[in-house]
Amino acid sequence: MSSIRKRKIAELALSISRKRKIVANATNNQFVGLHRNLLDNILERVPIRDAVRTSILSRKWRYIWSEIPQLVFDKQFFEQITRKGQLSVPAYKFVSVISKILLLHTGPILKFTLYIPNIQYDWEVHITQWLLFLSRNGLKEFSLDSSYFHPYKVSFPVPHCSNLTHLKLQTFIFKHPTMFGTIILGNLISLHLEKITFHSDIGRSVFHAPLLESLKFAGCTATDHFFILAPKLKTLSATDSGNLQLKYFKRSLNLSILSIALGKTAGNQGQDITTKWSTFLATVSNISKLSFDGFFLKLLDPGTLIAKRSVAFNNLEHLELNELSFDDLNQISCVLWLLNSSPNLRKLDMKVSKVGDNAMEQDLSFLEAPDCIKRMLNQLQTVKMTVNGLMAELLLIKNILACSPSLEKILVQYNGSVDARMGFGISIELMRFRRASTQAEIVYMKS
Amino acid sequence: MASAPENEKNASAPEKKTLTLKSMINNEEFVVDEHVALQSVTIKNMVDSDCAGDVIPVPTISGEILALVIEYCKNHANPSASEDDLKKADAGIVAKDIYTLIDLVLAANFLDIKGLLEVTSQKIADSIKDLPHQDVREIFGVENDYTPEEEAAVRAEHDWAFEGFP
Repeated sequence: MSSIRKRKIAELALSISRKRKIVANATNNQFVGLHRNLLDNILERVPIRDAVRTSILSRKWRYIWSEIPQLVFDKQFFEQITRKGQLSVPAYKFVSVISKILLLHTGPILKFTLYIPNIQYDWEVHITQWLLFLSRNGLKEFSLDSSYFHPYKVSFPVPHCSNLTHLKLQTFIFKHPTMFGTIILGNLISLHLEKITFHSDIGRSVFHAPLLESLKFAGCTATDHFFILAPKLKTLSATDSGNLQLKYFKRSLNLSILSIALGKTAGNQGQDITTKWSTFLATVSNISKLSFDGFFLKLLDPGTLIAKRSVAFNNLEHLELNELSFDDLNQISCVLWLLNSSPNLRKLDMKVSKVGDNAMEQDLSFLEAPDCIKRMLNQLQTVKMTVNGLMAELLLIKNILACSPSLEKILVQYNGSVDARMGFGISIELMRFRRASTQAEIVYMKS
Repeated sequence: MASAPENEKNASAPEKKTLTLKSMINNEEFVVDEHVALQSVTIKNMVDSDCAGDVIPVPTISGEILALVIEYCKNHANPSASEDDLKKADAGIVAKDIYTLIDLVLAANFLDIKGLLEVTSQKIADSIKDLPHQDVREIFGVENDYTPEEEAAVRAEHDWAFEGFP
């Protein structure tokens, strides 16, 4: 059976490679089975160890793997090659295998991913050498995932990697001991920084990234030491990373996706957060998606925000709010302010954080006022919301239903803490609410 | 080709146009909405340059494989499908044995459907990654032309990669 299949595959491949003869050159047609471009496609997706093993298939296969343009030495790879036997120096084997692969490699290496295990070793020496080698081989995407106990102190390899388009760094102290002034990241399109500590030295340099479109911080500390100019920025995301230097992003007029989740780092914010943020939000008028968490909304002063008439998110289509607490009037006011500032909203997602039994119901008369949502949400089509069963949550749903004539679907999910009786009570309330949209489907279920 | 309906093209009514794809291996025919079929760059080029008749013959692809390709195109032509839905649907399409996958990757390549080429290549990669090289040889139809000494030398060159393999 398999030999029939084999012949069939070979025949098919042959007929296709015949068709492609015009475009393919002679050396590319030397394989009996799949065409070379298809093999490359597959080998690029195989872990590097298995790709190297294909060198034993036949003479023609011996060096095919060595042209793979992306090399991934991730945690899995490290564990794979150090699993066997009790190695006294696993890091040595890891480093020497990587060096060997680089030595045997031919052609450009566009993407390089490296994991650093939590083992004391002179990583800096090796990484510096590899980066130098990679920068001469056209490296565009570099991703470093470190679990090293003490964050690896890297001097940012800008001078060597001016061609980089994508850079992702994890667990680092980001410092720049030797160069001051403006540092140009000329080709960088995306920069993702995770668990980075920015050394205060870095504050003396400004990074200029004329093409940068995506900038993400996650779990970074001392971000106020990091200065970056990114006029083309489209996505800015900061998770658990307080104190962003906003003044530089004001020139990012193309910003369309903004995501801020302060989480437990909320306490690190300065005093002037409302002024800082409302001034900033007034400048990013092209925003199409906003995502905030309750910890962030908690810090904003709704009074000041409402007074700032200049803020209007006319292009905002998707609003996402996470970890909301509806027993906090400040957060509810901010939610209302956001809804009132976003006349063209199409999609709304709200998730509440679990409340304890001592959640206080507040004075909610403002949620019952008829002009609670001041303008109709004419474009709003889908709403997803989780509830704890607080009156404030239900009143907000009531207001949304009354103000959204184009609504197609609202999904209300109640949290696990809501018991059956209360769940039923919520459903009765939901049924009573008037709906501006005749099309609106209300889906009510446990989350 | 003379029957290429010119006036229909100019008609403003958005009538759903269909194309018939015919497997030349077992003559099976599939009637497909045009916008579904146009995800294949090869078919799009044929239609754009008016080379497509009422029935488009698809050489070297069996009806069984063509059905999978069309399923993929239908899923991805649906504007209301979420990314998650598509991922699940793609996973279902490539949940096949390795030889079907190789037929599928050839079809995706011939019809020039980038997304399908990617998911199928990924699935093949996942399927062969932990296999002994003897099996990989068979799957790709490779004839071993090493002498035993040469083979041992290649193996020794990358001893770290062959640890735990026969």
